[in-house]
Amino acid sequence: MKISEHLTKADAFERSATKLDPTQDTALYVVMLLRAATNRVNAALHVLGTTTEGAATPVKLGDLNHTYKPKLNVPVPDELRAAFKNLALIEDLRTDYVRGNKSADTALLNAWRAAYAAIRHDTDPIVTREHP
Amino acid sequence: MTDADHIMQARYIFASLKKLSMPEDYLAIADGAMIVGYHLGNALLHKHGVLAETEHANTPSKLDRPINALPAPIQAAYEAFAELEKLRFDYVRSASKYDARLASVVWLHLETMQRACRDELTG
Repeated sequence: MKISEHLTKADAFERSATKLDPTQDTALYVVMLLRAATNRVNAALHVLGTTTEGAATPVKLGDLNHTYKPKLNVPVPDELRAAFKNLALIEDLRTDYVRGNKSADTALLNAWRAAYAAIRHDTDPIVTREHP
Repeated sequence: MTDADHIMQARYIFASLKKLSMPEDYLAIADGAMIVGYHLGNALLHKHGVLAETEHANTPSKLDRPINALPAPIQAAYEAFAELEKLRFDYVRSASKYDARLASVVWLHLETMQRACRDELTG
C-alpha cells in the first residue's frame, strides 16, 4: 500500500481506539494499537526504501503483515529497531488478550500505550521526510 | 479455551465492536469482526471435536481442511467467517475506501456465526 494509505489507516485505527475503554474493551483495543502501529512501521519502511509501497518483487518486499511475516530479507534499519521491538511487544499481546481472555490492569495498559507512543516517536520523523 | 470460554469472549468483543460506527470506524469494525469470528469459529470447532481445546485455528484460510470437509452444521458459519477474512484483506490489508456494502455484510456474517453457535451450544 502507498505510504499515504498506511498513514490514513493508522490515523483511523487511532481514532477508533479513542472510542473504546481499554480496561473493558481490551481485546479490540489491542487490535487497534496493533493495526495503527503496523501501518506506521510499514509506512516508515517504505520511506526508507527497505520495502516498497508498490508491488512486491523477489528482491524487495511490500507490506509486512507482522514484524515476522513476511520475514524481512534485509536487516531492520537501525532507525526502526526499537519500533520493531515495540511492535513485537504489541503483537505478542494477541495470544493472551485477543485470542485469550486475560484482562489488563492499569500498569499493563500504560506499558502498551508507551510502546505505541514510542513507535510514533520513532516513525513520525521518518514518514514526514521527503521520499523518492 | 473451552467452547463456552470462546463464546463468552466473542460476546465481550462484540459489545466492544458495537461502540464503533460505520462509516468512520469501518476499518476497526472489519478487523474486529474477524476477532469475534475467531472466537465463534473456535467454539464451533471445539464443540464438534475438530480441534481440541488446547488448539485453535486463527482464520479459515489456516484451517487444515477445506470448509466443505468440516462437520455439516458448522459449514455455513465457516463460509461466513471466510467472507469476514476476505473483507479484512480487501479493506484492512489493502488500499480501501468505505462503501455501504460493508456496513450490512459484516453484521450479517457475524449473525450467521452467532446463530450457528446458538443452535449448537444452547440448542
